[in-house]
Amino acid sequence: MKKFSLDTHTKLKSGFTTPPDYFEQLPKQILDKIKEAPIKEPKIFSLNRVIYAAAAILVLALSIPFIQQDTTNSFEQVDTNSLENYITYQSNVSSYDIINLMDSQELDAMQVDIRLEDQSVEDILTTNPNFENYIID
Amino acid sequence: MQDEKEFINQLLQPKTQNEAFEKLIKDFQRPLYSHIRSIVLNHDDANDVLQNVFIKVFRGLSKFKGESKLFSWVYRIATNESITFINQKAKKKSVSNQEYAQREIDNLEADTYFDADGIQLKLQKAIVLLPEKQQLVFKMRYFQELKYEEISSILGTSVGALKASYHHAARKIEEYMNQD
Repeated sequence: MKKFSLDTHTKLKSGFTTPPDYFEQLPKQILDKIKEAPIKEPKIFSLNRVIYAAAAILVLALSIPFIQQDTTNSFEQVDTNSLENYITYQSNVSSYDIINLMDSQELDAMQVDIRLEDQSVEDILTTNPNFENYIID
Repeated sequence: MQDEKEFINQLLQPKTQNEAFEKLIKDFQRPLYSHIRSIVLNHDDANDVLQNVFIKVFRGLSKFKGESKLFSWVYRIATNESITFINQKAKKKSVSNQEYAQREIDNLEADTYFDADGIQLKLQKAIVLLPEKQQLVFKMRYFQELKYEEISSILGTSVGALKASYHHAARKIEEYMNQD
């Protein structure tokens, strides 16, 4: 028997057929389907807006801890001496202003128990020309 | 291609759209049916897929940028739709794509819309045993007589690779056809 070869054998057809008039009716069927279900307005734009808004909120929410951390860090970086020097030499805030900002509990907490010898008190009073003013106050 | 540009313009203009699209259906329906049918195998499925393809083409016209030929674009949609259809069918039946195609081939003898003699049926049985890509290339080249350049623009595979695929497919088919 002769060997089958695609190059030499008569071209074979697929054998697939269609119902009669199939291709005559198909265009109308498709056009009718398109008319029945018109293209819906794409919602891509509005969906994108929602996605962008959600993304922006997410980025903001995620960056809050960093922002807070940054602020804390910048405060912590100032040491006590620098702060004291600033208040003493650079700022217009007087010691009275600071006292006014504190309540009595804070002031009590700051009170220092200083024990002065009588002689020391006498020395201060005699060397300080304004002691009379302090007594009046 | 001035003619194609003009035709695409007609497809995009509301006034000329319907008439132009009807022409597109008439021009493409026979070759596209053959292409889809060769993949999905039975007529009813081919009819469903073909109608979906034309509806997708119509709805995608505004996005068609003319970077490829209308022919390649339409064929690409048809190929993707057919393969997706087969994947879904096979998944539903919990079988591989090849097993699914094998069953469809076995049913062909009883199919009203399959008119073939013994050697034609044997050819279909030989094709279904090939890897999917080789099947596709063989059908497009042998039955639809598309040029390698055309197949390349549809499948995005180089002409050299397509020729190699066809060569391997033809060799395996001849081997199968020469078995008793």
